Amino acid sequence: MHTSRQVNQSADLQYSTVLWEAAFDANKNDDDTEEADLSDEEMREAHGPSLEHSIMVARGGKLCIRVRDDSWILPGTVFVSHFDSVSSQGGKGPIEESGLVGVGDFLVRVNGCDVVGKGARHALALIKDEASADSVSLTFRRLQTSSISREGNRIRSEAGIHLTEQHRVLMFRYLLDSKPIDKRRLASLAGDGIPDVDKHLRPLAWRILLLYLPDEVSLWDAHLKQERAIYYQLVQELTIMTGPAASCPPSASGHVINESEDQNFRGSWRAGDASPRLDTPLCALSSAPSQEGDARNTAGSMKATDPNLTFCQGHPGSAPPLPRSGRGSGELDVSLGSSQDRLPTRPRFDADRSLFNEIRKDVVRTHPDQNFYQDQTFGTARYDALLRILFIYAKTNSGTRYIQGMNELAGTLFYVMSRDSDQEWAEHAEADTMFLFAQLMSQLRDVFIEKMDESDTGIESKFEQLEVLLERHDPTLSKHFRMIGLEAHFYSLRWITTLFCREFTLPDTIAVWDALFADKDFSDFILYFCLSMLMEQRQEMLRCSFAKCLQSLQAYSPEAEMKRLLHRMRSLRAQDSASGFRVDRRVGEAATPSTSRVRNYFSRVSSRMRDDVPIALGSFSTESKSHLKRAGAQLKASFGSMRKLIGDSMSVLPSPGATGGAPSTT
Amino acid sequence: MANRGKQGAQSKYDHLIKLLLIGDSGVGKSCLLLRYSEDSFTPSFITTIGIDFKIKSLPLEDKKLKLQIWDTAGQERFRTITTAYYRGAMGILLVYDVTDERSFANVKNWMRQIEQHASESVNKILIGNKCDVDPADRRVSLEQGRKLAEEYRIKFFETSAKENVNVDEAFYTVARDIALRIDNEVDLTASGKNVKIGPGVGPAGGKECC
Repeated sequence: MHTSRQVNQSADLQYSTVLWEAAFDANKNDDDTEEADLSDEEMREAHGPSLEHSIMVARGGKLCIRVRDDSWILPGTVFVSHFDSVSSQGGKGPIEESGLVGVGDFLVRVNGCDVVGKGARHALALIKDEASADSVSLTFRRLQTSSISREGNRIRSEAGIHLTEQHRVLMFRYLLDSKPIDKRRLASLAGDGIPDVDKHLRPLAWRILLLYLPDEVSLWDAHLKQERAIYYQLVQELTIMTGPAASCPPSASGHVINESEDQNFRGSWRAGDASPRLDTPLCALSSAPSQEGDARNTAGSMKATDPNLTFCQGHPGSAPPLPRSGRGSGELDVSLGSSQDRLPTRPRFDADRSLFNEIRKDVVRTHPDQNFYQDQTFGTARYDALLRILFIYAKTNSGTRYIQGMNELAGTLFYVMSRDSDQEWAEHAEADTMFLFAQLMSQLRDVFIEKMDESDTGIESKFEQLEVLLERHDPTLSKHFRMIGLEAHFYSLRWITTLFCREFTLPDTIAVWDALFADKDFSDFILYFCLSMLMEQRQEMLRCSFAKCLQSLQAYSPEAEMKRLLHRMRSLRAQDSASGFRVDRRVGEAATPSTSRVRNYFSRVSSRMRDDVPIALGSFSTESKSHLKRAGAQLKASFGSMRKLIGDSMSVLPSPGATGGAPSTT
Repeated sequence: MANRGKQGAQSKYDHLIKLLLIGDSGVGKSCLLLRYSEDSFTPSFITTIGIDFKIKSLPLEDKKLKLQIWDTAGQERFRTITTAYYRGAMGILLVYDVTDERSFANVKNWMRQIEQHASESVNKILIGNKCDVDPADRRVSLEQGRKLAEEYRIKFFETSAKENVNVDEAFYTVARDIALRIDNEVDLTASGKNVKIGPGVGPAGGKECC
C-alpha cells in the first residue's frame, strides 16, 4: 500500500512533532477525525497508522515502563519517560523488548480506551484495572516522520495548536537531557527555531547538529576536553599574546580561558581594558623561522625588514582604545595597522604575518553594529578571540585558508557560543567556535575555494542552480531578470557564502541558521532560501530596472518576514522533492540554463574564466583566451582529483564528521 | 538642468557611466563609495564580499550623468569573479592606502589586471586613500603616488573618505573624462543626434555645443 511505502521511505526523515501534535489535538475524542482535519493527501499518507503500535502484555508480569504526563504537547498527555530493567542484570522488559516502543512515544490507548489528555494516573488506573481482562493492550504512537514535516505553522494553525515558547523550551530540555539524544527529533524541533529564552539551548543544539559533539553523551566530556586542549595548544604554538598578564577576568559574558592555560594566554583577556597597551614593541617580534610551523625556532629578535607589515609601523606608545560609538573614528581606527595592533594576539612566526594581517583586517570589521563586539569592556577581547579562531582554522586548513566572509560566519557562531548561559560551556566558546566553524566549513568550503569555482559544488554552479530554480518556480521573474540582465552572481555570492548573515539582522540570521543546521542538505537549503528571497521581492522586482533590482537585492528589505521566507523555502523544496526534481542534477544537462546571456550591463565575460576550464555547460565555452592561472586546469574531468587534492591538504585537526554528510541527521 | 540628480528624474540621463573600484582589501574602496554616493562615513563598515553596487546622478554642465559604481572585494580570492566586471567598466578607480605600502606596491598588479580584462579605452584613475592620517603613519608619499600615476599616464588624487577630501573630485574627474570620451566617440562615428563639427572637447571639462 502506498501509505506504508511512504512511511518506510520517510523513516530516515525528520520527526514531525508538529504533525503529531496536530493529529493529537484532532484526535482527542475520536481517532477517525484526525485525517479529516489534515486535508492534504500527502499529510494523510504521512500520518499512516503504521506508526501506532499496540502491545499486549499479560497481566501479572512486569511492564518495566515508566510514563509521565507532564508532556509538552497537551496537558495530561502521557508519554514514555524511560524503561526499567527487568532484572539487576539489565534485561529488557516486554515493552522495550518489542522494539516497537521508545522513550518519548505516547501512550494513546489502554485496552481500547483513549487516554490522550487524561493524564498518567488515569492511564495507570486503567492498566491496573484487573477486572478488565487477562492481558493489557497498550497502544503507543511514535512521533511521525514525514517529508512535509516543515509545514509546521500551517498544520498547527489548522489544528488550533499554539505552542508557547515555554512548551518549546521544555521540549528542547527534554530532548537534550535524554540519552542518547534523538538527533532527528532535535533537528525537527530546531528547524522551527530554537527558543532564545534559555540561552544554553542553542549553543548546545548547534554543537550537536553540526556534529561537533559525538552521539554518545557519555563521551562528551572526554571529547570536549581533548578538542579544546588541541585548540589551546595550537593557539600557544602559533600565536603570542601581548598585553599585561593579569588575573583572570571572568566575565558574565563568558570570555574566560580554561584556567589551566598559561599566563600568556590568559593575559589576552585583559585586552578589553579601556586602554590596552602593548608591553612589547611590536617590532620586536620573535624572529621567524623561514619554514612556517617550526615551532622551536623562535629565538632572536626580528628586525623590521618588511615595511609593509603593519606590525612594524611605528605607533604611539599608548594607543587609544578601539572606537566604540564611531563618532569620527571609523575608517582609520579600524583599518590602519596601528590600531589593529590593539588586538593583542600576534602570530608567533614571521611567515604567518601576512595571513594574520589579512584576517585581522576583516575581524575588526565583523558585525560592527553589534554591541557584542563593540562592548567597552570585552569588545576588543572578542575580536581578538575571533582573530585566533580564524587564524587557527586557516593554519590547520591550508587548502581553504582564510577567505573573506568567513569572518562573518565565525563571528556569528562565536556570538552565539559566548552567550551560553551555562558558564562552563561559555568559557570555552572560543575553542568550540573554532571547531564548529570547521564543521560548518566542511559543508561550505567549496563555495569559498577559488579552485572549486567551476566544479559542481563551487560557487559558479550555485549561481547556475539558483537560476535554474528561479526559472522553474517563477518563470516570469526569471524572464524579467534575463531581460534586464540581472544574473545570480550579481546578488547571490554574498548570500551563499555568508549564509545570509549580511542580509538580515542577527536574530533573523540565527533563525535561518537554526533551520539550516537542522537540515540534511545545506546546499539545497541555501539555494531554495535564495529562491524564496527572490520571490519574496518579486512584485517590486518586476517593476524595476536592473539597477533598482540589484540595489534592493543587495540591501535586502528589512521588512521581509523570516517565518514567511522559511516557509516558502520549505514548500518550494517540498514541491520539487515530491516531483523528484534535483537542481544539482539538472544544471549540467541544461544546455542553456536560464542564466542570461544578455550583455547589456557588466557582461559576464564568461570567457575569461571559463574558456580554460570548459565544464559541462555548453553555453559557456567560447574561444580560448589563455590565462596562465588556469592553464593547468584544462582537463574537464579534473575536478574530482582537484577536490581530492584540496581535501587531502586540509584538516590537520581531528574534527568528527568533517568529511561532510548531513549535519543533523545521520 | 534644474533638477540636479534628484531621484525622481533618475530615468532621464544623457550618459550611463559604469565605474569600477578596485584595489587591495581594506584600502577604503567601500568608504570612498559611501562617501561619494551618500556623503556619509560610517565606522561600522564591513568587508565587501564579491561586489557591491551603487548609483549616483551627477550633473555635468548641461548634461546629466548616471553613474553606476561597482565596488569590488579586494581579496585575491575574488579576483576571477571581479574581473568579470572589468569589461563593462568605462572607468576604473584604482585605490591604494597611503598607510599601507603593500597596497601601493600592488598597484602594478592591478594595472595588469586592467590591461588583461578591461577594454582598451577604459579611463583609469589612481587614488591614494586615507590621506588624512598622521604623517607618522604614512607609508606612501604624495610624490610617490603622483610619480606612479605619471608612469601610467593616468590621473591621480589623494583622498580621504573620512574627512571628505577630494572624493567628489576624483569621481567627478573620471566621470567627466568618460562623458567627454563618449561624446567624442559619438562625434567620430557621427551616429548620434548631436553631430558636432570640430573636436568639441576641450581639455579638462571643456564645453560642448549641443
